[in-house]
Amino acid sequence: MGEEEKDTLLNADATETKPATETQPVEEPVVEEPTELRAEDEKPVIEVNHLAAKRGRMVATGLVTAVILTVIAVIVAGIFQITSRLFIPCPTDLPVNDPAPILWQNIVSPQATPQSLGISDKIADEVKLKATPLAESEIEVKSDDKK
Amino acid sequence: MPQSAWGWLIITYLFLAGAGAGAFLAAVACNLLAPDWSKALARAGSLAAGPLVAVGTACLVLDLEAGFWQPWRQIYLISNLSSMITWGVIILSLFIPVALLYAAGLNKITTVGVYVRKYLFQLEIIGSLLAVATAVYTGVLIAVVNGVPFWNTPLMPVLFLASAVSTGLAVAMIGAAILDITSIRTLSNFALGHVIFLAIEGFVLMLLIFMSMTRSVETAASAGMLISGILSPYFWGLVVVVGLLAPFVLSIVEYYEYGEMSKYLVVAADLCVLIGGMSLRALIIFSATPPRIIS
Repeated sequence: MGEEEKDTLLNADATETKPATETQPVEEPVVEEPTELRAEDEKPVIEVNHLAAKRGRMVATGLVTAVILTVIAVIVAGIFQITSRLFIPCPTDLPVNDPAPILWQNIVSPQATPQSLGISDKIADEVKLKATPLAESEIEVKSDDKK
Repeated sequence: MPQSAWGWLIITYLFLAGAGAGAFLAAVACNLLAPDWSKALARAGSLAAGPLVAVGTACLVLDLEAGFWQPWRQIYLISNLSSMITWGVIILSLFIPVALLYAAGLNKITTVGVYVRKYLFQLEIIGSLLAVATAVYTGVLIAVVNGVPFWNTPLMPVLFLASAVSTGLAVAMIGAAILDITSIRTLSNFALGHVIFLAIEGFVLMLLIFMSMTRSVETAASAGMLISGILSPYFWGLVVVVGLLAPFVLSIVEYYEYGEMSKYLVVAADLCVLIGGMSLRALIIFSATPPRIIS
């Protein structure tokens, strides 16, 4: 079989397939349109879902960060409260000897007890009053007056 | 623990408000200076700022007690402009919505965010001023208390501002890791910021301690409590080692290794900064001693 005959046969095959392809385009659009429509519908849905997920993740990030910091604050407070019971305060530490809380309690106490004027006895004991010595001339004048 | 009129609710407010304000400043700085490669950190900082300050303010309201159970009395919070507390209420009331609007605008959350996005730059300017005011206010709130000489120093607002920026950067970095773990490599660029702000915080803290030891007997007693007294284990352990030294060293290593350091160590450094910040505020409150009443 010569090459020309082969070409004619090939062309004949092509023309024979053409009617088939001619019919197929009539069917293909009918078949392809629903899938194209579904793809187009799915795209905005996918985009909306993606955006909603992204925004949800962002809001969750802010809230989770706030929760993490609050947990850190609670943990630090817990460390302070638990370990403070293990310490034995030194007698010279100021919080042990600080009289301010005692005074404050006296001031804000709801009890209607009569309060004495001036400082309380406890504080009076702690206050060291310096007695000023009399001058020698004053002593001589006084002794002369008595005479 | 040493007795104090200000308890854990106030300390938690000081911590959360400072960290939230610092996170806002970190977000604005990232968005303005490096918007291309620090988006995760800018977003995380903006998302965390508003909720943190809101939760801190809730702690503040809970501490009011009388005002909490009788809310009509809260009007007196804003009636005395000569009080720092009034100014604090005004600042917080303005900052929280601005921070939330900025988060919505930067991240395009809801239609409000889309609308507000046009005014993002204005929100950044106003929000930054309010954030600095919020961070400084936490220090001014205790610095104006004349009854506690250790607090009554202009260094206190400076210390709280430095700590707020440091903790805020840590919050933003942790949030960025939550938002997008792959951004952890680019977070190494911000390790230098950690180094700088931790150094400033440590310097101001050292200055406060040294100056307190020579200012008066009461301030020396407070400083002595921190350095060698009943609060010294917390000061040296939680504040100095965990809060300053460890994250300082880790941040230097992270900056020079750039992204090669384990992500767990990166997050651990930020958590150490936060633990140190909370402990610092607790120690400042508990180390308060009143002025001498016996001469």
